[in-house]
Amino acid sequence: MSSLVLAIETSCDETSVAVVADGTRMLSNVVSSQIEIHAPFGGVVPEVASRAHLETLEPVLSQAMSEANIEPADLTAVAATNGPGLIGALLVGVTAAKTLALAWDKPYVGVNHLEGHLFAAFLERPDLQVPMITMLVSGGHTSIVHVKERGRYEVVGSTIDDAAGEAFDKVARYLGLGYPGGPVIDRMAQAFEGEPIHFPRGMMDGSLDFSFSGMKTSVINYVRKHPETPNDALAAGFQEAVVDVLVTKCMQAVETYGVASACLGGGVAANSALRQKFAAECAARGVDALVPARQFCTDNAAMIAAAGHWRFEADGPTALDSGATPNLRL
Amino acid sequence: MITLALSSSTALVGVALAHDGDVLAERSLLTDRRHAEEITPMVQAVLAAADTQLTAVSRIVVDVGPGRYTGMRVGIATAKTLAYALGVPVATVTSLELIGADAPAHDGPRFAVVDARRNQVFAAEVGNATTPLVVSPAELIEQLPRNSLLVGDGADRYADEFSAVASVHRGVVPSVAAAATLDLAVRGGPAALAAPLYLREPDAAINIKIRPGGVGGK
Repeated sequence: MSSLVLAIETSCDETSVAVVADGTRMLSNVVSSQIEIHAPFGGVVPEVASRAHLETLEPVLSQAMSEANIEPADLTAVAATNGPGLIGALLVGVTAAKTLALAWDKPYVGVNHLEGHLFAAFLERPDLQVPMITMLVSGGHTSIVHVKERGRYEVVGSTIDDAAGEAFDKVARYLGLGYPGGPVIDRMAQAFEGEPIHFPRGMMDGSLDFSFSGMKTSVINYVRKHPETPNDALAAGFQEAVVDVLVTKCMQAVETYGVASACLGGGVAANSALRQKFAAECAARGVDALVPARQFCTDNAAMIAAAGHWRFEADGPTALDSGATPNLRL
Repeated sequence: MITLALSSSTALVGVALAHDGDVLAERSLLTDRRHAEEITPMVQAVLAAADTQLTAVSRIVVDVGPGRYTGMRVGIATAKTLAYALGVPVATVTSLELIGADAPAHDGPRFAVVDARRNQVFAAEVGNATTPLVVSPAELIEQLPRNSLLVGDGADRYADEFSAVASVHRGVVPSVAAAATLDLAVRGGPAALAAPLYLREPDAAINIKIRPGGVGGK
């Protein structure tokens, strides 16, 4: 059966609209990032994000429809991220999607943002085998998810304090490197040729949970003790420690659950060291690894459309009197 | 000409449908935080009650505030999306105009007053199209002419203070029917111009209070 889903994503600081066919074939995926708007604040400011989404949504929607080169009548459903995320931001996308559904007489489908990240994999590899382990790492989330089948998940590990991306931002801010912290630390670490500073790896105790707050504190303590240390040695050491913990625990999950494939998702999955080490460790174990293209790691509506396609087939439409849930879980 | 009007910038969520100057159907509800949930079904309900197809609508009118930020965005997102899908223009009205439309007659100046939180109100004289004031209740009291009448949720909230110097008529909310039937000959315009009347910077821009990380950041 052929399906065509338009999806809207406004959960954090990207305004995105996409059209996806059959849950896997992307016809358009327009993303407008607010990074520059939030940079002066050193982080995403919810009210600033909500205001920007409202201004940007219509041009992004219009572009996504014209790039997909479809008519509203061709659509099967209109989807939107309805959580987790910033409530004011989510409601802009949810309201627009419900209104489009009403105006175009199509079903509305509310989609869990995290389920969207899990479905990003199928945009590139529709054949990817489940069960699999997917590690979601972003500014708001750090979770290891056992995908038993499409639509059936178990979160088997998650952070007990800061998300990985949040730790990158905090360390970058402490070192005066600017916002967002992930890309700048990644660049410095790549260019660094000396011996990275060794930082303790948190919670390497056999559990699948993470703690990144302590790692950030050890960077700060190290700088206080050794104020002459150059930033690139610190950046390289911090990134190495985070990547080491992430990949070690992900591989532990792969072995514990005996899966044959593994996938990365979320903004931190754009980190070059994480991508390399993840791919290498999967290869060493004969595990089919998917490291998604960077455009599918960061927030985008294509993954929401992919998940929306599947959700609609499984559960049917979402009611038009529904809203958004900021702390929605998988 | 069929007009669909939306108001959700205060505790009221309202939708009305009018044919020229006649209201065909109207729904409204006072709610603390269900603006996004209520507004879409309310559009459906109003159309059904008037036995009218959405495609018959030739103009959207939306209340752009001032008022509650999330409520304003819900109304404007609905209006702009409808305008996009239907290819019709959006006109804007303010919450203060819609409150003024339901203010009782009074032999003195009348003011629409909306609660702005943070010990401030948005205020405008009824029938006077100047930029609304953003002031504390005490500051508004100093500017009120004698024999004034105050209406709106801001007047209700600070009724004790205002009553010392002016009349307060409680319980007046934005009239979405007035929005649907207002003479809008000069107000039509492209949807991209339907912007919220925030009248204040985001708190973060005032405080430079930082929220690190992204979604779910602490």
